[in-house]
Amino acid sequence: MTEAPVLIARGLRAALGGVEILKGIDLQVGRGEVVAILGPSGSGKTTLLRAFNYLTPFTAGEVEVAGYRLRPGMSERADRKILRAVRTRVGMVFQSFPLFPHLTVLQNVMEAPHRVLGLSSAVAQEVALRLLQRVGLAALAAAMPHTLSGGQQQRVAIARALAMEPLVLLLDEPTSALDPRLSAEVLSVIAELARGGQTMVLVTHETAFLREIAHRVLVLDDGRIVESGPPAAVLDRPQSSAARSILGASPRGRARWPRS
Amino acid sequence: MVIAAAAVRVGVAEGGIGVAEAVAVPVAEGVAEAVGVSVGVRVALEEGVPDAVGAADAVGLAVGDGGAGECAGSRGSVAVGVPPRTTDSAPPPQPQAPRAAARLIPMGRNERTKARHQRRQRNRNRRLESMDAHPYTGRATHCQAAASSAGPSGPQPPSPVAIAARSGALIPGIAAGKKAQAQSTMAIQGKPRTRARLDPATVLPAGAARRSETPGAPLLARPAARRGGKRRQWPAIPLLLILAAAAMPVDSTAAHGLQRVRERGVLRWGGDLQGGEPYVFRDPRDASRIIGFEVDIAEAVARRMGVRAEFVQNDWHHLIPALERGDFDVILNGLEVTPARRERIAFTRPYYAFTEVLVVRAGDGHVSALPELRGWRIGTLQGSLAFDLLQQSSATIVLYEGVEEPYRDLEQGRLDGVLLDNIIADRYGLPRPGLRIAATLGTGQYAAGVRPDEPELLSAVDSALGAMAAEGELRAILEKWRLWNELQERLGTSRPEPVLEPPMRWMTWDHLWLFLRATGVTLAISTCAMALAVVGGLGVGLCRRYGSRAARALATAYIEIFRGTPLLLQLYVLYYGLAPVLPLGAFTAAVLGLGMNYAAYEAELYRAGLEAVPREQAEAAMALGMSHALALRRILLPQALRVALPGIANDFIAVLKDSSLVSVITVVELTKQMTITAVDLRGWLLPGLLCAGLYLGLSYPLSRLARRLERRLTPTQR
Repeated sequence: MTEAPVLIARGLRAALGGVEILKGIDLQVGRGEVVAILGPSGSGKTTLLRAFNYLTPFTAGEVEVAGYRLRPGMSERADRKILRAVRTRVGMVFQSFPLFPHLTVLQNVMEAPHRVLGLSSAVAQEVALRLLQRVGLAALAAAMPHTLSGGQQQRVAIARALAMEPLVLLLDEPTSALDPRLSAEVLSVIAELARGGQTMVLVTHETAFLREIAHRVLVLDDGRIVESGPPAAVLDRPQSSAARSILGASPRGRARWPRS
Repeated sequence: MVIAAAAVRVGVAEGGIGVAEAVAVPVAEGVAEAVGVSVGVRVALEEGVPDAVGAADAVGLAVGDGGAGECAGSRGSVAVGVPPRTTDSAPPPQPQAPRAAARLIPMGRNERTKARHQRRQRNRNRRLESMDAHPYTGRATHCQAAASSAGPSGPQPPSPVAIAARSGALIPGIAAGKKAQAQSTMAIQGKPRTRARLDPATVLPAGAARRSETPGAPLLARPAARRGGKRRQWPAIPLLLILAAAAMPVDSTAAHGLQRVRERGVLRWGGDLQGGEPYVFRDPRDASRIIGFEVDIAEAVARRMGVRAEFVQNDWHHLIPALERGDFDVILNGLEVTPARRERIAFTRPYYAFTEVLVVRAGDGHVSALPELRGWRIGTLQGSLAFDLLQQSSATIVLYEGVEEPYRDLEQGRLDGVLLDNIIADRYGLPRPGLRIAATLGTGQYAAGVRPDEPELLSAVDSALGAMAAEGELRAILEKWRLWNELQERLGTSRPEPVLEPPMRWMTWDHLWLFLRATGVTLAISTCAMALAVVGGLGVGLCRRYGSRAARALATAYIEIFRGTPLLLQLYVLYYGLAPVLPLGAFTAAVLGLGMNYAAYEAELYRAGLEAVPREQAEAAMALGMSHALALRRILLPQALRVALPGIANDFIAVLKDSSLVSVITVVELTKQMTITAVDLRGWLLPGLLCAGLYLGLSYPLSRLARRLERRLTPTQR
């Protein structure tokens, strides 16, 4: 997939608490591309995703989304227009699927389109219901989040991110907080999105899964991309020691997730 | 010698004469030395008054020694005025008894105190310039403290001192704009000591008005002690003045008091129902009616002024600040004439003379004078003359709000004695079988008080009182209330017969209705205050968490100040302190005070609530492109509120109870109603239980409601 990139990162550096986490990341994500990021704990995977929509401010480099450029030192207040423009175009799914506990499932999904994009509540509701259908949760539209299972909550979170019709969807270990059965239902939704042409950057340890859906796999180690290539190449013939150690530690099984 | 200096002023007046000229006359050196007094006499003569000089000749003058010092020491001057026409009929000048044995004057203060005092004195002298006298034959000193039983034996000669001082301001026709502030005096009779007698004739022989070395100069009080080689000593500033400092007098717009009353057709008079019988209290047979001998007096005065009397309830301790605020036109509620009060308000002629009676348990020892009370626990009312007297003794003073409680505590052994006005002692103390009168430690007078800048009103009320006295109406009223005694006739010092009255009262439906109404007031104040606190606290809390550096600092300061100072103080400042610049209504001030105080607590609750919302919530909202405000409004605050809700409900219940504090700013809410009724019924149990029940009836449903809300809002899991 080498169309015009929807997300470009150039020389990204970021530090947390004085420790440099990202040490110069260059990355382009093309339209419809699914990029998977692998790496040991602390290698900067999550930080990289959060830098893409400036949830974690970076110290050097830049991120470009749909012509908007994020630069170091932007402030939430002064640069809110650019930040908002980027964030409405970059969807994010968190590991802990933080649904809004005081809103129903439907309200969770339609809140941002309605309040941020300015869709009428009727239109926003229609969009939300369609997305909930897509993640298989239309029946639970009126439920409160805490009555849902973890897998259902994460699927709602995905629907919530999709409701903004993002150019690119960032998924930060979306299944690591779930048991295998619940993971499977979430992964099948993600796979379905991938087949639908949704551009995604995905951090995951589910190598079997990403072998199926990813167009490209990056291996991150100590804040740098140490390996990059098609899944088969990276997963089967890892070049870097980091990649080898991760992949050696993870089961090299075939896909165990149900296809829809 | 306690009189540092006496600025003596002799006002000569006749039928509405003002003061045109003042002459300072130093007292004969010897006399001054002997008594340690430097007396400057001002003889004020009105130009064009026939035989003004002759009038001056007739001036009799007496300067109270020790007792006067109590006033004068603190005020720095004694005003003396004697009506020229009445000197003939006045009893012969009597030597003043020397100072009371009581330790009248605390030790001297530092230089700052002196400076302050001198400043005050200058102001006083300025005020003196408009003082007048008129032929009012008030006979007694304002308050005579009989320091020993040896003191008053038989009819005391009336002291001319203070006659003019009191009456000076009463003359109709005083030039408008002039302050008719009279200085008060006090003569104390005590054990004879080796003090030179101050005979009016000696001090100022007829016609002896010598010009002072510095004529026209302000009457500066000269510390006599300086000459005597002693350190100058000032008495403690009465508590009232401390209160006064907190509550700056309102400079009312104009001296239109009388006109205002006439236009409105209503004479509003202030008093406190908590004072109980026989002053002003609810009719036990019909609790919707207010009765009392002062009600009768007020109605008679109003009738003579051609208007209607309207009672305004106000906490007794704050009658003067409330008068200054303009909450009513006149105070008529057992207000003792004291020097401290004369500093702030103008008094009419007295309508009742009382004695300060020390009541002890029957088996206890003998006491005859104030100094013997050293180490005793004596109960009295805050701001009363008895309190002032006790402050001069070494007794431990225990202050009460009501008149019933001190005697009860005396019975129960929590006190060694109770010093209060004889009226109170008669009705509330002596009916108790185990109590008896130990001594009469002083005398005083009740008078009506008006704002000093309303001389027309003052003279109108005073004339009405004068007419009532002359026509026997006052006597009829006092007799009706069984208050008449020879003390009233002579306004001297004699021991009244105790009026016994069985204290048995029952609660009526009217009381219940009053309680319910008070409950409504409590609920209204609490609800409004809480609404204000919830909204205001939100603003402060958000400022503190999300504001700029300056906003954060401001919010923090707000929280610390309002959380760190007593609510009671805040209410005082808001209601009395701010009155000159921001005269708030009592209800408004109550709501504002409570609301602003609780806003500080709410702010912290919101902050804690916001901090309890997981960070991911904010990030999720931001990742969806929400603005800060939107995320706050739609995502964070609803969750924070849920965390804060139990605390807010808690605070609502706390506000319900704290609203009882607003009675100090004259709001009669549930607790105040309870204390008032308790005095009415002379018992705390029933009103107390009813009051508690009503509070519970308010707070329990509230806590249930809060619990239900909480359950509905809180997810069982995250």
